[in-house]
Order: sequence, then structure tokens, then C-alpha cells
Amino acid sequence: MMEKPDPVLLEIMRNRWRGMAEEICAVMVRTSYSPNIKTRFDCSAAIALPDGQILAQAEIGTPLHLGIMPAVIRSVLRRFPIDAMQPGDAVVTNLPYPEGPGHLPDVSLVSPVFYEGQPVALAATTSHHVDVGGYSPGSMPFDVTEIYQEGLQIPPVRLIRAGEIQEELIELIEQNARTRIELRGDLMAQIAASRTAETRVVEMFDAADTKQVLDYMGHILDHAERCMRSGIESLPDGEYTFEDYLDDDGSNDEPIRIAVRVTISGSEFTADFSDSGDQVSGPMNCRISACRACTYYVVKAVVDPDLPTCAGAYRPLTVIAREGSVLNAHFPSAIGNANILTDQRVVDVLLGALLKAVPERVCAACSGEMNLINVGGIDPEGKYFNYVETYAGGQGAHHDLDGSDGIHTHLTNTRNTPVEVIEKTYPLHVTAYGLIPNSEGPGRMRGGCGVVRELVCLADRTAVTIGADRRRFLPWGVKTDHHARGQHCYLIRSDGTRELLPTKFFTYLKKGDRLRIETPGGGGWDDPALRDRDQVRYDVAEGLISRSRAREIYKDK
Amino acid sequence: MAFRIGIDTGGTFTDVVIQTDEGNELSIHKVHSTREEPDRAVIEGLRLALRHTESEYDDIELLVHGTTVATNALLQRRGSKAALITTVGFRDILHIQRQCRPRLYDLRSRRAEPLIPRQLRFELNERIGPDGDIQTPVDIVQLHTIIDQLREANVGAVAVALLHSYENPAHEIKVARLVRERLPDVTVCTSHELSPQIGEYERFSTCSVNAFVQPVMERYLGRLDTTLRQDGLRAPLFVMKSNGGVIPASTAARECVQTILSGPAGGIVAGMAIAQHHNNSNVITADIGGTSFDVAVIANGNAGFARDAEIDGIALKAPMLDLHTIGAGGGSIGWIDAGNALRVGPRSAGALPGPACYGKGGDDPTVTDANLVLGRLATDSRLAGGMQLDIDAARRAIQEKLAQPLGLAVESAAEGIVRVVNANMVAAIRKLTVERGLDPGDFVLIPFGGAGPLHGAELAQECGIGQTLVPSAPGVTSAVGLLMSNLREDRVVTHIELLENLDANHLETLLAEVESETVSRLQTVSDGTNLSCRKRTMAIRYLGQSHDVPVPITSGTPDLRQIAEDFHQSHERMYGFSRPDQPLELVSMWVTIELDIQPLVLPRGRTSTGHPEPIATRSVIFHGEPHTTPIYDRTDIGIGCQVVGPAIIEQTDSTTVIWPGQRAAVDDYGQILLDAMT
Repeated sequence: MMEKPDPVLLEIMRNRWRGMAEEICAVMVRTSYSPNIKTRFDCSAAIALPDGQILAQAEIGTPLHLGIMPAVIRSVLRRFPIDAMQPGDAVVTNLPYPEGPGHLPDVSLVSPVFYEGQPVALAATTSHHVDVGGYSPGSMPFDVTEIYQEGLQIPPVRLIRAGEIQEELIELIEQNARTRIELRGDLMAQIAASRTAETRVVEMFDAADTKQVLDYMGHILDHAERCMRSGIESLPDGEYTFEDYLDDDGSNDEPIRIAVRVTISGSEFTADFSDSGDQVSGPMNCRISACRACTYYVVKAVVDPDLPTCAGAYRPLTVIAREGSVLNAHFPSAIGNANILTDQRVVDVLLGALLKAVPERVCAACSGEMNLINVGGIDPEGKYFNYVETYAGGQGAHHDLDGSDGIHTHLTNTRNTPVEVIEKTYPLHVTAYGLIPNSEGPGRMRGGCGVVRELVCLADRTAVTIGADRRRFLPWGVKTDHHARGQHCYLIRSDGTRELLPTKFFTYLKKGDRLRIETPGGGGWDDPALRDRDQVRYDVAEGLISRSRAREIYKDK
Repeated sequence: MAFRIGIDTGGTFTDVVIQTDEGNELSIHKVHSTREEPDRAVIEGLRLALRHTESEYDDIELLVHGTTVATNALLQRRGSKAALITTVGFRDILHIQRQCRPRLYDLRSRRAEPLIPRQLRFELNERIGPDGDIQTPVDIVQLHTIIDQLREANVGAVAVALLHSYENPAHEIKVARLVRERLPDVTVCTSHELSPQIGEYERFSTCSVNAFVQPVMERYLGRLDTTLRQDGLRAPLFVMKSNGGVIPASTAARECVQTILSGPAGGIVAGMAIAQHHNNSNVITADIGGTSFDVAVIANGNAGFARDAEIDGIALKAPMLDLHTIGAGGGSIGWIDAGNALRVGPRSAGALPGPACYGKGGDDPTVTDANLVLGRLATDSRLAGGMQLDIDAARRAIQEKLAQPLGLAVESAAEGIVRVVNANMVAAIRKLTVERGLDPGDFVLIPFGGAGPLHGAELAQECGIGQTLVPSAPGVTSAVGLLMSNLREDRVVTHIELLENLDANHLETLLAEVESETVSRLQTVSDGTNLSCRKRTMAIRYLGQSHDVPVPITSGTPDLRQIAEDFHQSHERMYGFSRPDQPLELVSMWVTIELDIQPLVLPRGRTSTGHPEPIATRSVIFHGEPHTTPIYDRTDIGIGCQVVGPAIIEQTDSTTVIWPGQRAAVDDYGQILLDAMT
């Protein structure tokens, strides 16, 4: 039986472990090669107890890693129980089945930390690598039906054995990636991060009483659990349901149903997604670990954005998804684009359900997708290039707050690639980057506007993948039937012909072809006729809402 | 008698510091700041200081001013009506920023609104390519139409920010020229002049900040200069910049974006100067005030520069000293979270209502209340301008809000507050050192600000820092720093090229050009003072990386092989690995030019009058135990004095805590040198 924790030491220890996770993440970001991690921060780092419970996690660019990291560590421990590991080992994996990272590009590294011969902690990092092979550059193709087509699958294997880097293994992985320098560089960054973790954990134990440090690792989890329970208790008990749809899976026109039943009972929170549609043939299937990540994100955002991120906080949460459904698909279903599309819809339905419980804490639908674009090929100098970015959209309005225009929402928060960097680095010419007038979801509080980006290809045979959604099922408003404008993507040939492309596709472009991508806006709140007249006129003066739209929808005379 | 004066405008007080050329005397004067018209306090403070020292305006050789006018105009969004002219297709860059929200989990968090509204952001047909080639010439007819609209909108300033102007500024120059010609009363600034670096949002944003603030700064400095001249000032007036150097007031307005972090820069400069006199070039400065903790790291005599500086959500790419700020200070509030941990900050009681012990209606327990309860602060503290501190109110706040709910004694809860806030500050120090591959053990800590010396010894202990050096006037360190600064300019030139393709001679020509241009410009504004320092740095990365490492050029002409070697070494040190097999890429070059405008003299301390006598003793709690502790007056502690803790040293603007068994000695400059705790 552990003693009751000292509230001061608890706070100091908590800060130290959190600082350590942040430092590990910072090391990884700074040593990484690819802009994906450097500027988009699509990575995270965690320290866990030897049994796999996460003690502290740092995430900068996306909350998706929150639920995924525990799954990664569990899958590693299943293959290499902690007693079978030795100092200096590090296990790599990217395999989402039976559980693990959300998709193949999320290569993860887990290593044990020993103190005086005993395993005392695990260090784990996940980072979204530029490419791990498969059908198309960036390893997130459409037109695929199996994970085999999506890229190299790495089950948990030891990348480092007792301090010895398995060079041949790296060569095998490298050989499968289109951007091998970046792959090796980013992998080395993860290794540097795990070495930092080892040093810091050992320093921590050196400086204090071993038993005390171990006891407080447990106390930190209990503390987070208390915080989370007290937050959930502030939500009214009840059952809340909501459903929404993804347009399609990229292979046919069938909408994909995403539904949730949230049950709040005292300090327990259950999200049951079993009523969602069956798994699909396109790469839009999801793993349950991703549903957990979405649930953790929503509860944290609604309950208290400052809640600690560790295993203790997740104890009161239960996430259920029917096996064989789109949110808990069987091997070897293709899953590559769930992270950018399906997961955002999972968040939408969770927020939609909570709207019925705590409307003042929730916002209308945001753009609801990430509009991933991946452009790759050979530049005029004969070098392989790959440009990847997720585009911002409109944010949903709150009952007392307009949504932001052109911003990353929910599961993504990565910086854009500057126009000047795109043009300097890739054979691409950018002709427009800005807000789309009249794309907002109208309301007393309006949603945010979507974004347009126009790219002209300067090289022949440029491979383009776009992963987007929200063209048929538009971002919804609250207390209003108006929706925000949906996603559009046009291909404009050099002869001026213009073609509307599907939301999800993979194709080759010719030199001179122009791609115009328009992202969805965010939903509004309440009747637009009730909107403050000065605000309506300001938006008109700003050119974000047209005069006629103000007249027709906002009823401004 | 000739002397130099530093005047620093702070939130509460405007500090005036006078130093004679011999440097033996440092006299300090404080007046209340006048928020609406900060120049009133500056003038009043100066007159007061002259009266007190029985001096004349003619005695002043040099006046250096640290001002927050630009900062406040930005923070309060009280700048000019500004417009933007930008490349067609890109007027929303200022709005979208980098497309991120400030807080990952907070659905209500919002980006800062752009300083220039969309209706005043004009798009112009023109285009420079990524290599500086002109793809589309400036549409002059359209430009004239835009200028007509600018006139009609009656704007006070225009920011000209076009794509790829860091490669080729021709279009920005052309546009600016025509706008100036037709609108001679309007302030015009260009992005390539203010920040010639790749990355449109940061460059455009920097330009918009300058346009927004410049007219305000011009009015302020104009008014100040006029009054000072009327009063009889003949000496030059300089203004502190964010890079730790100064510029003449006459040019400060034009580049006001460089003065946004002028205040804290003074403290860092003072820290560097103090360290120099101690033959230690590795310094951590820790400025602890009422609401914030500002930490900066000076490694090998160089203060780092911030990479992605942001003020209140607006990006600023001007050379500014790298300062890490967290919400931790005397006013930080202790509270219990839902999980029963004792937490401190970031909420602060500020100056009003202030800590519970101020008796101004605050009932939240703060760090100041905790220090008072522990006996580290005196109840008749001179800190808050002779205010009597109410220890009962402090005890009550801690008892009711923390001790009772947690089941702790009041003293334990008070100690808890201090330990937690210290841990938060230690985390900030570690971020700037350990995270960057620096060992805090190689550094000396310089704590200042009202509360710095209260916490200094513990911070050093927790971070593994050996020595702590408490400046002679901790509360006015920023003002003192004004008297230690030089004319300084940092220029960054974007130059992206593979290292193997670089020609050292070509590089030398390029650097020399930037340098001589900068030197001659600085010399014209400072009556031909001497070049005191020239530094060159290359920012290099592995090809494919997007993060660069600064590599100083130590030899005269750049030795590329040496530079490559230094890069791999730095990379190894900072990040734990290097890849000598990989090609290197130059990203940009930094040139630093410094011209002496004043001698760097640290004021001498008072000579000792033998063994100091305590002015009192009181019970102070250390490690949970009360210790009978002698209290000294700082003015009694002269050069050579030695004190062994426990001891408290009080002075008008600060209190220094010396822990039991800790040794303290006063150096030749009147600074207290604390050894590591044993």
C-alpha cells in the first residue's frame, strides 16, 4: 500500500516527467530531417511505466497520437515482454494490426530504460514518416483495398539490440521508401530521442530515492484519474446519440455512416460506435485505437483542455466499436486515410452528441477533414521530390463566438508550408492562397471560411494524391439548417479546360496543369437573421460575405 | 562632471540610472510611470535625478532610453491605420498566419486578428520568382488605382510586402517609391528592408507590425526629443533595441519593429557585462517580477536570438534576444487542482488586487505571501514602496485556500508554494539549456528583478548551477544594462546554396559588402565612433533538413572545410548525432556589427566598514525548520564582506536569501556572490 502522496512533491514530479516527455519530443523535432516533423510536428513522445501505462506524453501537432501510443506500446510488449528486453534495446513498428499506430507512415520506436538492472520505464516516439513505400508517394494512396498496397509493414522488431543498431534492418526499411535519406534521418532522430529519454530517466532516479520515484509514478496516474473523473462528473448524466456521414470511401459512391452513443454516468464516460457502418473496401477504415484517441481528445477539449495526458486520465473512459465495422476493421483492410478523414468525422459525432449534454461547451461542425495533398515526382533536375501538406478549413461557431477562418481544427494543428518554400523547394508554382468568401456556415455566430490554394505543376508526370471529404455531407450548423460550403477541387489544364475532381483521388499531372483546391467552411450557430447587423456589414466590407448573401441569408436590408 | 544616463520605462516605475565616466558612482532614481504619455515620467524622472545630483543638462554625455511605447502600441492594438500592398492572390496571408490554432485542445482559443483588416489589404499584379527572376512586372496602372484608394481611406501607413522580395527587392522598392511620391505624409515600409528572409507570413507580419507602430513611435520620440532639447539636453539620445544594442532615436522610429522587446533586453545586456567582469562567459539571467519569469541564456558570451518570435500572437522576425517567459512571479497564485496537487500560476494576482498581504482586497495565496510567511520577506518590506505587508492576511489566505484543504501546516503549504513555483522556473531554465545540449553546471546564474534574489539560490541548487551573482541593484538591472550597450546591428541575409558549391572568395565579398554598408550607416548616425566588434555566423543544415545550426566564422575569410567540421560538431553536441557523409546547405548568413558609444564600466562597490552588523534577527523557515536568521542592510555589506547563511540581505528594491551553510561574499563591484549550497 502506497502512502498518500504529498501534494507538493506530486506536482513537482508531475512537472518533471512532463518536462522530460517534452524534451524528448523537442529532441526528435530538432533532429528530424523531413519538414513533416520539423514544421508540421506530426509526432509525439511518451514515457511509460514498464507495464505500458503512459506516464507523460508530449504532442504538439496532433492529439491523434494520444490514444495510439498506448496501443503501440501494448503491441511491442506483446511481442517482447519487458523481462525479455535488455538495456539498449529499441523496438520499431508501424503495424496497425492487431493494434499499433493508426497507419503505416507512423513509424514508432519503443525502448526500455533500466536502473540498477531493473526496468523502470519505457520511452516511446511516433513520427509520421514521409514515405514507407506502397502504391503512391506518401504511402496514403486511394484506389487500394488492402494494407499490403499501402506500404511496408513492420511488425515489432528490434532495431537496436543491446545498443547495437541493426544496420541491415534499416537498409531493408530504407529500400522500401521513396525518400530514403529522410527516412533514415527521421529514424535517427527517434533514436536520439530515446537515448535522451534514457539519460534523463536515469538522472531522475540518481537524484532521488528509487522507491519514492516509483511510488510517485503511480501517484501521477491516480492524480490524472481524479482530475478526469471530477471533470466528467460536471457533465449531466444521460445517453446522447449522434450520427453523420463520410461522403464515400474513394472507390464507390456509398456514404459511410459514423454513429455514436455516449453514456455519461457519474464519473464514467462511454462512447459506443457500434452503430456505425460496416468496414469498406477503400482505405478509410479505422482502428479502435484511433477511436480512443478521438474520444480522449473530445473529452479533454470539453472537460478541461489542461487535463494531464497519461494513462490515469483514460481510466474512466470506455470506447467500444463493433468488430468488422468501419471503426474496427479486420486485417488486412486498407486504413491509410482514416487518420485524416474518418477520425475527424468521429470527432464530429462525439461533439454532436455532447451538444445535447453541454451545448455551451461545444462548437458546430468544423471543416471535418484535413484535405491532405501529396505531390511527388521527379523534378527537372532529376531529383525525387515529395510535397505533403494538410490544408486548413473553417472552424465551427460556438454559441457566443464566431469560428476562425482558414485554420486547422480538432485532430490536426500543423503549420502550413510557406508559399516561398514550396516554390523554392518543389517544381510547383503557387498562384493563390487565401480565404474563400461565402464559404462560411451562416448563423447568429458564423462559422469560419474555407481556404483556396492553387498549384501549377512545373514538371511532367507529377503524382498527386488528394484525400478530402465533406462535399455531399456538409459541415452542419447548430440551431440552423444552413450548412457551410463543402470541399471542391478542380483540375485546370493549360488549354483552359476545367474539371471537377472527386474528393479522393490519385492521378498524374502534366507540366502546366493547375490544381485548385477549396476546403470546406465551418458550421454556424443559430439563425443568421439574428446576427448583429454591424458584424454582418463588417464581413461584407471585408469581402468575406457578398452583399447578396447578406441580404438573402442574413436578411440584412 | 560628465556622466551617462539610462532611463527605463517599466509598467509601474520609470527608472533613472546615472553613472559617471569613471564608473564609481551609480545613482538610482525612480518615478511612477505615466501610462498614457510615458514621456512625462521620463522627463520628470530626468529632472528629478539632475536635481538630486545637483547636475546640469550639459553634464550629460549620453542618454539611453528603454521604451515600451512600441510594445504597448502593439499589445493594446493602438497603432496607426495601416494598409498592405501585396502580390495578387495572397492578401489573406496575414489572416491565415501559419494556419495553426494557439492551443491544441481548447476549442475556444483564437488566433490574433491581423493588424491590417482585409479591406485595407490590396493585391497587385506583379510577380518575382523563387530565384529572383521577374515573372510579371509591376502593373503600374493598377498601382495608381490602389494608391487612389489608399488616399481615400486616409491611411497613416502602408506596408509593402511582396512574394520572394528577400531574393529580389526590385518590386517592393518600385512600389514603395511610387507610394511615397504620391502620398508623402504616409509612412511606407517594405518587408525586405525589415526582414530579408524567406517565409512570407513572418516577413509580411513583421512589415505590418512596423507600419502599424511606426507613426506612434515617431510621435512619441519626436515629442520626447523636443522637450529634452528645450530643457537643454545636447547629448545624443539612443533607444534600446530587442537585440541588446542601441540605435539613435532619430532612426528608431523607422525601424521600430526592432525595439519591441527593448525592456528585457537591458537586463540581458547587464548580465553579459557582469559576467565579463567575472571572467565567465556563460550566464543565465533570471528576471523575476510580479507576474512573469524571464530567462535568457548567454553561452560563450553570446546571447542567443529567438527563432520564431511572436508577440501576443503576431509573428515578428527581427533580431531579438532569445528570452523564455513563463507566468511565474511574486503574484502567482497557489491553488489545488481536481486531483489534489498543489499548483502555482499561471494566474497571477498582479498589482491589483495583488497578493493577500498587500491588503488591497486580494484573498488568493501568492508566492509573495508564501515568502512573507516563511520569514524571507520582512513585513515592513521596502519592496512595494514602503508598504506595510500584512502577514496575518497572508497566513489566512494560505491557511484557508491551501493548508486546511490539504491537511498541511501553514508553513508547509507556504514552503510548498515556493518549491512548486521554483520547479516551474527550473523547467524553463532546463528548456533553454539541457534541451539544447548545454550543461547548467557550466553557467553562473544572475537573478534580478524584485523577486530574483529571493529565489536565486534555490534555482541554482535545483539546476546544478555552481555560482549565483546578485547584482548591486537587482530591481533596476534593465536600466543599468542601458549603460552597457553599444550601437549594434544584426543583419541576416538569406542565401540558400549547397556548401560544396560555395566559393569562399565570393562569400567573403558578399559578407564584406553587407558589413561595410552596415558600418558606414552606423557611423553616419553616431559621429564616426569606432568599430568594436564584428561577428559572422553561417546558418547551416543537412540538405533536406529544415532546421539550421548557427556556425560562427572564426577565421577572417570563411574556411569552408573548417565550417563544415564545426557544423558536424555542433550538431553532434546539440542533437546527439552527426552525418558527415551528408551534403550541407547554407541557409543564411548573420552579420553583427557593434560600435562603441560608451565605455563598459561596472560601477564599483562600497568599501567595507569591517564586519557588518545585522540590523535585526528574525525566524526564517528553511527545509521546514525555523532558523534564527540575521538580517543585513545591503548598504552595510561592502566589498570583501563575507556572510555565512542563514542570512537575509535587504535593500530598497530587493531581498537576497542566503541558505543555511551557504557562503556569500561581496566582490569589487558590490555584487553578492553566492557559492553552491552544500
